[in-house]
Parts: sequence; C-alpha cells; structure tokens
Amino acid sequence: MKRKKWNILVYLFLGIIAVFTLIPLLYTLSASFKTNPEIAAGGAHLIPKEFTLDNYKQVWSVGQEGHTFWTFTKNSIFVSLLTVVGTVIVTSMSAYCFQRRHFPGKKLLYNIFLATMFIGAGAITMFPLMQITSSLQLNNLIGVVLVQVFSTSAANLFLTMGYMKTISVELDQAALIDGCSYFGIFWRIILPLCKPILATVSLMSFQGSWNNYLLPNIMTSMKPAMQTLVVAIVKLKSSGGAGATQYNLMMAGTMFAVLPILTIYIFMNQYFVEGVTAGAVKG
Amino acid sequence: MPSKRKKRLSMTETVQSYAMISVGVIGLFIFVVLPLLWVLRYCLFSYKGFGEIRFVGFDNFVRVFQRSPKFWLSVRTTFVFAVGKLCVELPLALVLACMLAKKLKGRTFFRSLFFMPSMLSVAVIGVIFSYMFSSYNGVVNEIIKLINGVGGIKFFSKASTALMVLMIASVWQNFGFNMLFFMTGLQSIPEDLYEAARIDGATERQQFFKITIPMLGPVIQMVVLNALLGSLKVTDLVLVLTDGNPLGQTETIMTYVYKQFFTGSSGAPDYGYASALVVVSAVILGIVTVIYLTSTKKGSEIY
Repeated sequence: MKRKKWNILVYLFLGIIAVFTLIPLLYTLSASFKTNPEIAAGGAHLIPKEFTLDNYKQVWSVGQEGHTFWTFTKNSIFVSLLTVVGTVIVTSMSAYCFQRRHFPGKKLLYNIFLATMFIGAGAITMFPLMQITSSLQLNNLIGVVLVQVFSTSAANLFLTMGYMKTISVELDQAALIDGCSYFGIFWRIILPLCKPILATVSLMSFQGSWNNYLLPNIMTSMKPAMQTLVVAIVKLKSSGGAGATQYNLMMAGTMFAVLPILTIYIFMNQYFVEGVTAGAVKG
Repeated sequence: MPSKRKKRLSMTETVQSYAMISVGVIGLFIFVVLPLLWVLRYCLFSYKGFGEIRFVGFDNFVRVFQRSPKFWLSVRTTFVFAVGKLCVELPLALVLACMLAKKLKGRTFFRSLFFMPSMLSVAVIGVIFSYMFSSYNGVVNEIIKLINGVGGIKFFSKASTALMVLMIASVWQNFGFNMLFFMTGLQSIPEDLYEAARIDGATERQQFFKITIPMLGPVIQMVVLNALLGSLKVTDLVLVLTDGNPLGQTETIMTYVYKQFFTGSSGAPDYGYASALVVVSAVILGIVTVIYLTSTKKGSEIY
C-alpha cells in the first residue's frame, strides 16, 4: 500500500518534469505553424487557430540577405560532416600512437595534449584565434572545421584509448611479423576494430559541430553566404529589432536546426548516453 | 646482433609514430596553443589594432584590478548565476537519477526525454527561451495571465528577472545531462550493500544517506566540478538571450571579456587590456577549481 502511494508520487513528479522539458519544444513547434499576427496577439494555446506552412516556405525560399536556409543547411552539413571525418582521423591516430606505440617524448606530448585540452579557454580566446586563422586565410568554413577538429575534447581521446586497450596486442605483433608497417597496423587492424567507439565519437562531434554558434559566427562574419543554420537563426532574432520580431520565421528556422539532431538522437540515443558517461566517469 | 635489430625497429617505429602524431600536434599548436601564447604576449603591451605596440609592463593588470568595475560586476553576476542555477539543477538531477535508477516502467523513456535538451544547440535554446519569455505576449506571460489575471512582465528589462530566465534556460538544458552521470554512478553501487543494510533493519532514508550519498561521493564531486566550470563559462546562452542587457548587468565573465576584444569599454578596444582580462579570468577559473578540489577531497575519499 505504501509502495503504491510512493509510486504514484514518483510518476507525478516525473510527469511534471516531463511537461517542463517538453513545453518549450512544443511551443516552438506550434509557433512555427502560426501566423505572425496570431503570435503577436498572444494566447497560451498550443494548437494554431490558423494552421500555416508559409513560415517554412518563406524561410526556405527567401531566407535573409539573399541567402536561403537551403544554403545555411548545406553549410551546416558540410561543416559537420568534415568535422566528423577530421575528428575520427585525428582522434584515432593520436589515440593509437599514445596507446600502442613507443617513441621518445611520448609522455611529454601526451601531457601537453591533456593540459591544452583541459585549459581550452573557449570564448575568451576567440579573438586571438580569429587573428591567427585570418592570417592563414582560414576565416571560412574550412577554418571552422579545422578549429573544431583540433580543439576536440580530451573525452574523445580518453574514450578511444580506453577502447583500444581492450584490443589484444598480439594482433599487432602478428601483423608486425608478417611485415606490416606501424601505420599499416593502425589502418588495417586497429581502425576497423575501433568502429563501435568511433561511431560514438562521430555522433558526439557531429552534434557539437552542428550546434556550434560562436565559432562559425566569428569565422563567417561579413560572409552571409557562409553562415551555418544556428548562426542564421540567431541573426533572424537580432535583425527583427525594429518593429515586430518575426517569431514565426525564427521558430520555423529553429525547427530546421533542431529536427535533424533530435531525429538522430531518437534513433541513436544509446550511443550518446554511452559517449557522454563513459568518457567522464572514469576520469 | 639482436640488440641492433631491435634498435633499428624502434627507429622505424619512432619515425612512423611521429609522422602519425604530427597531424594532431601541429593542429593543436596552431589552433589551441598559439591563441594562448598570443594572449600571454599581448597582456604586457598596449595595442589598439593599429599604430605602435607599446610595452606597458603590468599596467594592464593594474587597470583590471583597480579600474574595471564592470569586469568585476560580470564576475559577480557569473557566480550568482552559477551558484543559483546549480542549487536547483543538481538536486533535481540527483532526485530524478534516484527515481530512474530503480526498476520502473517507462524508465528509458524518461531518461531519454530528460537528456534530450542537452542535445540542442545552446544558441538555439537561447532563441527558444527568448520567445517563451518575451514581454507582453510571450508564452510564459500568457500562462501567468491565465493563473492570476495579470501578465505583461518584461523579463528582460530588469537584471534580476533577466538573470532568472538565464538560469531557467540553463537548468532546462543541463539537468538531464547531470542526471545521466548520477544514474551511471548509482548503478555502479553494489546491490549487496543495500541488502546487508536491509537485513540490519535500515530504513530507506538511512540507506540513502548512509550508503547512496557516500558511495556516490566521487561521482558527485566530478559532476559538481563539471557543472560549476560549465556554468562559470556560460557564453552563447547569454549572448543570444540577453546580450548582457539591461545595462551590462547580465554580462558574464566570458561574454564581457570576449566583447572587450571587439568593442572595448570606451570606443576602441585595447588588445593588451583584453588579454590581461583573459589571463585574470583563466586564473579565477583555475583558483575555483583548486579550491573546490582541495575542499572536497574528503568527500571523494570515502569510496
């Protein structure tokens, strides 16, 4: 009896938090189908009185400053996919060297890697970073990719190294005897065997890159054609300054940025959960 | 003969390893280390982006400590924000984790749902919450109106309410993330401990405070540190949601220092002064980490 009462309370609490979690998303979805006058008129109703797809059409075809959301979506996909490829290559190769190979100065390099990855100051070194990238002619989408790849979190490195530890060293030795080079061992043996963990790393870096705001914003400022989705959406917010803010367009744009990542999350959520927890709890 | 062979082998190993690791090392140097060196160099100079680069010694630091009330206001705001939201976020995360760590119908569903906001872009969350909390006819205002008849709160024109919206948005985004860590920690506590306690006649409450919390010590320590540093570094959310307004009262350390490079406090930015701010901010974060780790050492050792 007491158990049952307790269970009801637990579900009530979980339910309240579930509503708290869903409300902002549901209202975003709802506003993306409302007309701007309806949004401006207010009201807490979720179902639009006048259901319209115009917001999506407008955002998709007209966009802003002559560039449509199709362009921004392409930019986001381009940046995110290249970031994934780069991160997987750099992370797996560094992890392989640190976990498997012996060479002078390994410990020192490893410590430098860890230190800088933890120090990574984020927004406050954004300006120096911009100075450096623009002197290298890299203040464009490729620059965004490179920065994202090389300032990748220590968690990725730990995660991959931890997984590599479970792969038998005898495989390496057998390959070595058969005349495989050290790079060959990595390429033909370790990399294929690390696929599961690299899937997690890929998802995490895709999500990070797709969602990134400040870096692509800075690197592509003055270049509206290079904006990513997130940057373009935030621009919609600030450009609406005079007169009525165009919440309908903002919310439709938001759906473009949110839906892909939520879809991936729904189908792959186990990988995300693994990636987030495994990387940190051990440390 | 064997020793010579071994040496030659390790030579090729060294060469190949360096070739492979060099990609990561060079990238790290250019994109992570170089910006830090840039800051360390300029913090002793005065440079406005044009004209001469003048050596000024520690003048920039003197200015940070004696003539930068706005920076210290942002430091204060950041700590209020971090402590305020963590007081809600972490207990909430822990309670949910305890509920979901047990066998419960719909457990995976709730876990996935609560973790979902952490998947979204912080900037996009800023956009969503600026819509939710917009003045006059925002959703939250309309809901308040339904409850007590009067809405029309201008959330973003008062520092206290603007900061509150920032906290709510941040809690909304992060509680599920922390919950996940607590859940992993809870699942690693051996079931025999509870069994033994039950046999000895311990109540659920006693079990929670005498077993769960102490056993969770190291996980709690790590989660709190992560969450604390993450909150002190809050950037995108503030830039999108309030942009430091009203009157720079919701400016946080990261946003304030970041903006110093672009606009400066009085017209033109001074890269030297801004660099000094970066150094001081990094030191503040470092000190917080050290103080936190030394003062919680005992808690993490119980395990």
